[in-house]
This record gives sequence, structure tokens and C-alpha cells, in this order.
Amino acid sequence: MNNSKLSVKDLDFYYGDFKALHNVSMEVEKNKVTALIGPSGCGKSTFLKTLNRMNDLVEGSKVHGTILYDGEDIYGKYDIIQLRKKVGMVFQAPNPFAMSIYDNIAYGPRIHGIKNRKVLDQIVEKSLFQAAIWDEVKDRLNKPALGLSGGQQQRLCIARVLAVEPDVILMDEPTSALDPVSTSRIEDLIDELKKDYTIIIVTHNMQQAGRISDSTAFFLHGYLEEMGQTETIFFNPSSKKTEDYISGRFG
Amino acid sequence: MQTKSRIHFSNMMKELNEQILKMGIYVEEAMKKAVAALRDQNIELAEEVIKEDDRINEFELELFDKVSILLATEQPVATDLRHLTGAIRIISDLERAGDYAVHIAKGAKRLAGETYITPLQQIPEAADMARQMLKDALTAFVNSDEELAREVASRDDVLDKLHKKLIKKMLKYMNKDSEAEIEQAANLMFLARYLERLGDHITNVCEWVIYSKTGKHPEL
Repeated sequence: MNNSKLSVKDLDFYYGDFKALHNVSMEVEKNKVTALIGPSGCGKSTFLKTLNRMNDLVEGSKVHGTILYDGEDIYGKYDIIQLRKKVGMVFQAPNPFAMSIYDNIAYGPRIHGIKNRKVLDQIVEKSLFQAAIWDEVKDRLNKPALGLSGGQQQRLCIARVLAVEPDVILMDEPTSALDPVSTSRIEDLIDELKKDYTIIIVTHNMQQAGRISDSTAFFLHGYLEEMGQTETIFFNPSSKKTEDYISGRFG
Repeated sequence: MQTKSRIHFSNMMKELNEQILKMGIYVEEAMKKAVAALRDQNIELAEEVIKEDDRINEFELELFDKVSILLATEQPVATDLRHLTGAIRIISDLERAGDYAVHIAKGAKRLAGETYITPLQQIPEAADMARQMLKDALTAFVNSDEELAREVASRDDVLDKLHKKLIKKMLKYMNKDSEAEIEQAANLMFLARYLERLGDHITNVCEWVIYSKTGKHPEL
């Protein structure tokens, strides 16, 4: 598939002896939102973390199979720092650093060697603007990021990811700690961001998957049970298990 | 500060509304052509209406799927939910209205070779009126305009009166000896009846407009 940003083939993943993912193959389309759904422990977060090798940090973890990012095997000779720059991540609970709003955003670019204040100013403004929070914080860039509301903090974290110019954004339940209004703002933001980025989101909220994603992948017991266009998955899935899960009959 | 949200869903609803309006235009156009075919005894035009009804039927199914998918993926509640369930009923009323245009077109074909017993007056008049009602009812739907919906529904009385007037006129021909005249009068009565039924469907549309706005089922 030419539009494929990430191409996963026959992926197995182990935490020590425990096999958390079985033979997962998936194509993630460029500039689309792909939602990963499934009950707790089904492997969706584990799968997400294999995409930028966050699982490498877990002792005893093992990966078989291949994940191609723009055609290159990320478990081959790929520079891991470069990979995590290109494939950024937003976590469940907003986790701004205990520093100013400005420094939160400038942190990544600084690590990547950008020192010029003018350039940093531009990156900070652009990232906050893209994350739809610029207007709310532009007059208090030097105030602590922890003073922001939960929803604002999460948009700040998205801006922080955007600041290092990623290509793919992984999101692990990014709205589960937020109220409905903040959730809705993040969902609108995701819809906007997919014009420039490829987004993969883990969500426990099936309704959210329905609302925001183009493709949906349903994981069960470490297997990719079904994947397809979100409209198809929610309207007429092929697997009875998918149907039972999305109709809230188990999970 | 009130911020705009659920932009994607709002856009989808807007798109659906636009497509319902478009389906309405197809139906209105079909009705216009069907009555013109009848008035001008134009077989070709009548056949066009019959052929183009396929598109209206497809429209109904496409929009039905679209609404179902919106219900499945967006989980609308309250007014949004009622707007979508109302939309399902409205597209079915529109499909039925398209069928009436086909019935009239078929009538036009049957009567194309005959000399009219009397110049057609009430039928084109009723059709013009019904078309305007249809347009206004759909405008009321997309704008959630309860007042307009009630006003459109009230025009149905005038349509009924026109229908009765035509029946009365045709009954006079029923007393005549000419079988051909009796048959034509019966045909015209049937055709007028479709327009009267069209008015009822438009009234249904108006009722769904009010339902989607208020959550109450009005009797108009």
C-alpha cells in the first residue's frame, strides 16, 4: 500500500515469558486517524508502544516480526532518538514538566540542539498555535505549566510533541482524564492535526473511536481481531466478537 | 467563553442537510416535469421523469446509510438525535413524493393521445403549490424553523380545497354518455389525488421538523 506510513508484519511481543501480542499485521495509513480499541489487557497499548520502541524500556521485553516506518525497519539499524522524534507520544494523564509553558515546549528542540532564541520563539508559538492553545497562553508563557487546567495541560503536551516536528503522533488514551468539553476540544484538534500528521490513538471510549478515527483496529487477547474503516467497524463489523465488544456486551 | 466544538460532527450534519435539500430538489423537479408532461402531453418528458426516479430511490438508500452511520459513529443525543431520526422519516416521505411524480408521468403518457375534456387548471396549480410547500418544508427542516413548518402545513388546506374543486368538476363528466370522457375524468381525478397525497407527505415532513425541534409529536 503506497499510503502506508507504518507497516507492521507478523508482530509478536513478549514481556518475559508472557506473549502479549500474537502475529499482528497492520497497515497504518498516512494522514489518517487510526483508533486502537479493545478491553483492558488486550494488547492495544503494548502495540502502540512498539511503534516508537517505548517498550524497549521494559526489561525482558522481546519483539519478533517487522515494523516498517516509511519503508525502514525500526527494529533494524534505525536511530532510536530519531525514531522517537519522528514518532511522538501523548500520554493518558497530562504530564507537563514543572517548568514554564515556554520551557515545556522549547525543551525538545533545545535537546535537539536548537539554541537560537528567535528560532525557539517561533517554534513555541507555532506549536502552541497548532495545538489550539496559543490564544489561551500567549500572555503567560513564563508562568508554570502546572497552573493550567487539565485540558489545557494535555493540549500543551500535544504542542510539546509538535515542537520537535514529528510525523506520527501516538496517543494513549489522551482524553480519559479530561472533562467532556476538554475532550471535545482535543477531538477537534485531532481532526485538524491529521491534515499534517498520522495519528494512532488508543482509546477505551468506543464512542470516541467512532467519532474521530478513519480506521479502527479491535484487539482481543493480544490478537488483532478485526481492522477496517471505522464506518464499517461500527456499522457492520465482520467479527461477532467485534460486534459484541462495540455494543458493550463484554469487555 | 463559548467555543465551537464537535466541528467534524457539525460538518457531517451540515452535509446531510445539504443532501436532503438536494434530494428535495430532485423530487420537486420530477414533479414539475411530470405535470408539464401532463399539461403539454409530452411523452418524452414523462419518460424522463420515470427514468430519473431511480436516482431519487438511490438517494433515499444513500441517505439512510449515511444517517445510520452517523448514529453508529457519533452517538448523537437530544436535538441532534431527533434531527437524524426525523431525517430518516423525511427521506422516506421524499422517496414517496418521487413515486407520485412517476404516477403522474405515467398518467401523462396514457393521456398523451387524447384531447382534454377541459383545460387543465387545478392540477398544475396544485402542483406549483405543492412544490413550493416542499421546498419550504425542507428549508424549515435544515433551519429547525418550527414557525415555518407550521405555516407550510397550514397551506395543505388550500391544496385539499383545490383537489375537491377538481373532483367536483370531474364528477360532472361522469354523468355524460361518452365512455372516453368518463374515463379521462376518472384518470384526472386519480392524478389529482396524487397531488393531494403529496400534500399529506409534506405535512408529515413539517411534523418531523417540529418533532426534531421540540421532541413532541404535533398533529398538523
